[in-house]
Amino acid sequence: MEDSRRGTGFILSLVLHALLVTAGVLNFSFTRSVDMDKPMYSVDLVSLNPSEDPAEGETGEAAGGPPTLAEGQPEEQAAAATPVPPPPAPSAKPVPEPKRDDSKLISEKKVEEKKKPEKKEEKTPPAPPQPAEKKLSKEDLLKQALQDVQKDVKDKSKNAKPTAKAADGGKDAVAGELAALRKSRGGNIFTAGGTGPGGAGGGKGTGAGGHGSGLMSSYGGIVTQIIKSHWRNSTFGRESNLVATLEINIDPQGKITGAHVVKSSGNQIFDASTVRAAMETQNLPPPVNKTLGTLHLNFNLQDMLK
Amino acid sequence: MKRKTWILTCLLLLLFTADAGAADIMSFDIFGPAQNKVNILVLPARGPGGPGTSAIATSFSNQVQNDIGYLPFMHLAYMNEILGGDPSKGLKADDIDFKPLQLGRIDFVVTIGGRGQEIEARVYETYSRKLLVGKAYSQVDESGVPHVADRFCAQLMRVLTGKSGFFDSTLAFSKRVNGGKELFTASALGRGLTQITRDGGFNVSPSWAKDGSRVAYTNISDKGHRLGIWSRAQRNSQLRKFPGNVAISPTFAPDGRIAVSLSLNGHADIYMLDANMHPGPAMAPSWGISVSPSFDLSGRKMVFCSGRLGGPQIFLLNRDGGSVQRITYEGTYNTRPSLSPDGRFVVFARLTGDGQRIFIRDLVANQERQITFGPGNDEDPSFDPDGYFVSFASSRNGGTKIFVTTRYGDAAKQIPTGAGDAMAPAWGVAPALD
Repeated sequence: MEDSRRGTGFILSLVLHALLVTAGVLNFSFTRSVDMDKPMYSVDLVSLNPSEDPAEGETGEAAGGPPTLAEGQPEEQAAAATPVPPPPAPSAKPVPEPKRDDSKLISEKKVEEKKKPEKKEEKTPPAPPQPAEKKLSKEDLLKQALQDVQKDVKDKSKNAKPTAKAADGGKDAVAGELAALRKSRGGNIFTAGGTGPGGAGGGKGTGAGGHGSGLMSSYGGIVTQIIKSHWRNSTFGRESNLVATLEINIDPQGKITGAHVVKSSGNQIFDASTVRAAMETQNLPPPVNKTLGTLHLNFNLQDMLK
Repeated sequence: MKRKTWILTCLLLLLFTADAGAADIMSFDIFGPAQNKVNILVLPARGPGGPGTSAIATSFSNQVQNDIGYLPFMHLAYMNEILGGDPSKGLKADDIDFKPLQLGRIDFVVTIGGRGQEIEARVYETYSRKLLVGKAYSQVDESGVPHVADRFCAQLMRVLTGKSGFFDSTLAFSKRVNGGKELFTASALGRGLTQITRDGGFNVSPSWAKDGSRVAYTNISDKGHRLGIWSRAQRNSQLRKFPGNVAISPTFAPDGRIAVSLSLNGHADIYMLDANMHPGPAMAPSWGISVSPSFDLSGRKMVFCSGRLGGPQIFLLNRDGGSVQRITYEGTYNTRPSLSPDGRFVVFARLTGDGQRIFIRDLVANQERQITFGPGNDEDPSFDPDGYFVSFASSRNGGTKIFVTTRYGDAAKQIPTGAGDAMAPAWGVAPALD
């Protein structure tokens, strides 16, 4: 009897530990709400890279792979996600250490502060200072980059044929465009955590603010822009707002594989218009996070009050 | 013990399987559609022998398409926009291949069938394939087809927008007859054109009672100004004279009383008449003239035109507190205001360098914009009962005719009113006369 109790207790203990470990791995954040009102300068992972090869700094780890510790990501989480940290390669570019636990917006000052330790580490190959680049505001650059990306991706999604090849080609459209733009700017604008797929924020989007990284926000902006452009509905006769939530399933290439209303507005014609908008869209840019398979879109009939 | 190990293994397996299959979810907000028009296609009308074999169905189809053309929130698509042509073999959902319609970005599709004097009409939503409107009409002759088409479109508009004032209301307007002007009524599509007054002289400025039972107007003749009231039930009108020899722009308030400009003190002020047609105190007294009152549906707000600050401008009277607020500041000649039923928008005519134009002012957002653009003169704007459509008189095509636009300034369409000039349109919630 005593043995049986001990056995049960042991098993229960095992199950609870397993649950805890699983919870740690899953990070308890399946659903995120992207705050579209967040200003674009909240992409806080930009800093001047002293390295000679700018492209290195941009290459982020693919989602699902060993996560690169993103700035603003709590160290405990990172430790849980990487039980066996890979030994640092001697030739590897020094990765900026995530010293901050707070997930608030990083001011310009803080970015400047991070530059100093990097310079110390890279004393051997001193990066030649480029005064012309210093004049550029990182906010301006990033804004311009994102605007161009949005425009390009929108054009591409319009013209792209829905072939697998084309989809593969546009897989990293957002990241690619950003990288190209950064290179064209002289190559010294970098994201400290890497903004490649799965880079900043990793799979769980733990960028600054806790609402997903700036890149995820910009992906959200692109998605809403594209789907909205396909949304037809008459606002005539509706003084009160109607809201329907649509669940859209996408594959890693961004192809919309299904859409259904998860929260009805109470008006079936309005609901149907949201499904039509999604299905007519057909293809979205590949998600920056490969594990992103579902989008929840709240369709509001009325525009925001100004 | 083995069983417990199995349970434990299964639990762990389940957890990790769920993890492997779990995908992230992101949530976004979209505010307002990018396209404010929905696409609608009317499929070829069918008779017993297939498409085009029923004259009445074809006529009905043409009328429906004509009616849809008046609705700016709908884009009427054509068959040549559909891959493969007519995707239907019948009138019901099972007879329609919706795929090409979806590819053609058609939101709603209309099927029409006819046999003898019977008409069937349906509207489907193309993605869900749901039936939105289904109507059958019997004993319809050719002359009744426009009326039936209007009823069908009213039902369609009601289902899509919750409102149908455009089809359910009647316009009263002034029209030149034998050197004078008399009042006529017609539907918003010009159907049922009927002369309702034969007073002689000039009948101008009609205004509907909110229940559609009466029309008030001004009769100008060699006897001076007289207030005219036409009764729908009795189909006749009565004229009444007031002291001061002025009775301008009478308007029904929502409670059924009439506000009219009278010159009781040497200049025109707006007075509310009681049930015995006796004027009360001036509603917004000033030393300048005040004319053209217009009320919201609650009757608490009244806009009017007044020269109290010099040139004619638009003012708003808050009837609860009696305060008067100036509405227009641009331009030196703003006249004929009409207040939307919800009291939010005012349309009015402004004299610009190019002639009279219609402008709208949003009293909530405190913004103003032009909604008609000539050529010629655009005058006498009037809101429809939904506060969405705006009728006005325009000389853009030579002569003066009545046109309809929306508060967003959509392309104006002329309302057929027969030969002769037509002006001063007023909307009323009343079915057209027989």
